[in-house]
Amino acid sequence: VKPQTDVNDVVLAAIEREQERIGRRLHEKVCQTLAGISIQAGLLTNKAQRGESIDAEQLQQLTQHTQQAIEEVRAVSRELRGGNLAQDGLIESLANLSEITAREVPCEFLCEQPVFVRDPAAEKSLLCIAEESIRNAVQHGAPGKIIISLTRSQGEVTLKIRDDGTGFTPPSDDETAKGIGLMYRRARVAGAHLNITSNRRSGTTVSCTWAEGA
Amino acid sequence: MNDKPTTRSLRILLVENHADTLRWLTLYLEDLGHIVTAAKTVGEAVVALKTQRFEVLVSDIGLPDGTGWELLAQANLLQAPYAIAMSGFGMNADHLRSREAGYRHHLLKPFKTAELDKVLAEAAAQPTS
Repeated sequence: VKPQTDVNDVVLAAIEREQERIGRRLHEKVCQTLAGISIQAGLLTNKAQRGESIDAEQLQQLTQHTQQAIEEVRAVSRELRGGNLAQDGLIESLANLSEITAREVPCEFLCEQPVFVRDPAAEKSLLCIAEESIRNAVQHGAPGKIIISLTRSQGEVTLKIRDDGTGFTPPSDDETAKGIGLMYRRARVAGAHLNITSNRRSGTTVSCTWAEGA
Repeated sequence: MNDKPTTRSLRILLVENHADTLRWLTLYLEDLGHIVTAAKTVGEAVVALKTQRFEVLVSDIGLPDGTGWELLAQANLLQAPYAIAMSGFGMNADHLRSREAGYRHHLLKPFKTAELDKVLAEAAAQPTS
């Protein structure tokens, strides 16, 4: 898997992919929840207008759905701000990513010892690489499971994202290739080394190693 | 005061794959006195359209096995019901595509129930065959 050469193409493609993904998420989650709330409110209004009593349970459900919509909007807002990396740190952010991913595909986050990355730019790059790897795995690899691991050994921090999916060799489409190109660039800018291995039988492993002082 | 457009009871096929929206919309329509049959996929909806008679089709556009736009073409009915599309996408192109597919209205989610009431009143005013 080789990086792309045109930086502008890669960046533009990444922006468009992200816009499309967020738009899809707003449509599939937030709009549906709000649609349900609007219909529930209409139903209760009709009952009230007819002078019928309103079920406390229905009001409770309306409150729950409103809260759900608030949480969905917060989650999108948080993603748009690039997560709360500065507040949560890399370990917590990766744990959140694992939790969100597990809603679609079984996903586990392994981090046996606390790992601290003192360079905020490197930390951000590692998180972005994890997000992109998971997006690729979910969209193209049909994985049964994804494992995210973060380890530290002899001054080197290694982030791995492994899946047991169908892999991609070569990248299955132009957009994927551009996304992978962006991952290589992120790693290089942060002074990290990125390696991607992928085949149809054993899935894909994305490994990014960052050495302290790089 | 209830200023809801008056309408007669309609036989409605409701196509929606989002469980909560389907549930609440079914309850809402039944509360208005309509007879509702629910479908979650294009496949289920096509079977329902071919085997039962409906006066109104209310369908989501994004469905797991296709689109609401494909639904009417696949059903290939001599006389299609009064069709109302629902979608989170409301660009001009989406409205146009709904119209070309045979939908009379394209409701943008989340819509006010008053909008649905209005188009159902229009459907009820259509001559029955």
